[in-house]
Amino acid sequence: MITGDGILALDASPDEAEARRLLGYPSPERISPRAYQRFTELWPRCLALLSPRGSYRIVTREEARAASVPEPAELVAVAVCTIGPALEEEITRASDSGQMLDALLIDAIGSAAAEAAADALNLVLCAAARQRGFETEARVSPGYGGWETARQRELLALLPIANLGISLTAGAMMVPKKSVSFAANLETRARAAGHGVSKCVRCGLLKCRHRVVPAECG
Amino acid sequence: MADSDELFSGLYQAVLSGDEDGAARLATRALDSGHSALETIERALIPGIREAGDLWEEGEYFLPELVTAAQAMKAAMAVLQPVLGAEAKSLSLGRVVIATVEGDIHDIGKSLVATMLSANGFEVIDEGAGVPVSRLIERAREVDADLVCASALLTTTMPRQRELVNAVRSAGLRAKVMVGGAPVTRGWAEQIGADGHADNALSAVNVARTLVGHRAAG
Repeated sequence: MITGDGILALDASPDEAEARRLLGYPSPERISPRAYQRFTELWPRCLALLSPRGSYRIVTREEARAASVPEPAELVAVAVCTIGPALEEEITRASDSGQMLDALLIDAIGSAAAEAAADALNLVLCAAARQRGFETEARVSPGYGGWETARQRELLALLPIANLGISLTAGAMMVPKKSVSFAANLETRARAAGHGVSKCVRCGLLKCRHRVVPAECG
Repeated sequence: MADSDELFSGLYQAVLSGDEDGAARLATRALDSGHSALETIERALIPGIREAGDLWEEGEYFLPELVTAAQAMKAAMAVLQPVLGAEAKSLSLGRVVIATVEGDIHDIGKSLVATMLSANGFEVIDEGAGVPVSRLIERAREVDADLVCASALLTTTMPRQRELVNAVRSAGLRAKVMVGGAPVTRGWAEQIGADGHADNALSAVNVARTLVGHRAAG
């Protein structure tokens, strides 16, 4: 659904198992009864605080190069989404009052929600690309895959971030924090299968808590 | 004696299982039974929080369990602290000033480290997120800090950690500097001349103990 100014309201429900994975649990059932009880209490409250929305554009290779998108194709989809500020305010409230378990759990739910929003937006742009006869490659975000975080400013200059309520700090960090920006090459045919496996394969953050595939050693 | 053992065992279990109310109640009962605050801390609280750390290192506990244990420890300490008196000083492992560096508003990782340091006997002054180096220096001088901890979650804000190390040296402070954050590696810490590096909340406690211990021994 387009709400105006190219802003999409995203249907992006976070996955409970993913939120627990972000807390470090190797499998969802490893969560302790006490933490699980609090998690289930917080879950509906957190969902009510989400307002996932996003925007994308399809830009030329030159525009993508200006934003330092790595190895841009002739056409590149650039996108940004956010879950809004309300959940982050809840994290701050919990942290400031010393309720670190709540802060931790809400943060994980927020991260899962931001990823779900990015997945939903990705799906929208994949469908749009396909209508034009293109396939969409795996997405990559500033800070990952050799794309410097500092270049996020140029990427976001291509997108209506003010209408989304997103701003950037001096360190090129998005506010709200639970926002995701990315780019994805559009190709007439998807490239080698390796590109589609996971963005983690190409990322240098070996100890990232979001990593879903093992880092290669040596 | 048997009653004391049972009491301290119960308090130990309350910390280990993250039962804040139980920990506070049993700490009160320990005082009411004529045990000193120091004995209660040494026989129940410290073993409890250490066991939680061991279980985390063994992969039995995860971050939420570690945090709930720390919160239970704090709840019990809130009962014991007022009657500690002169003993409190001897219990403190050191004074720590901690913050997320300027330009970076990621707060939760730093807050978790602060929580774990505090639960493990450090006196923690948490300056929050987005903190300029000058303010950290000012606070470290003001409280005669043993350790200054700086978190950076972005490659764009990591250079602030180098500035901090240089500023601590230039100011002639005796404090050691520990750095952390997702993109921060041991190599980076060595490169900027930091005294220590931690890649998670528990290793931060261990590194802090070592750094403060080394300083005291030197």
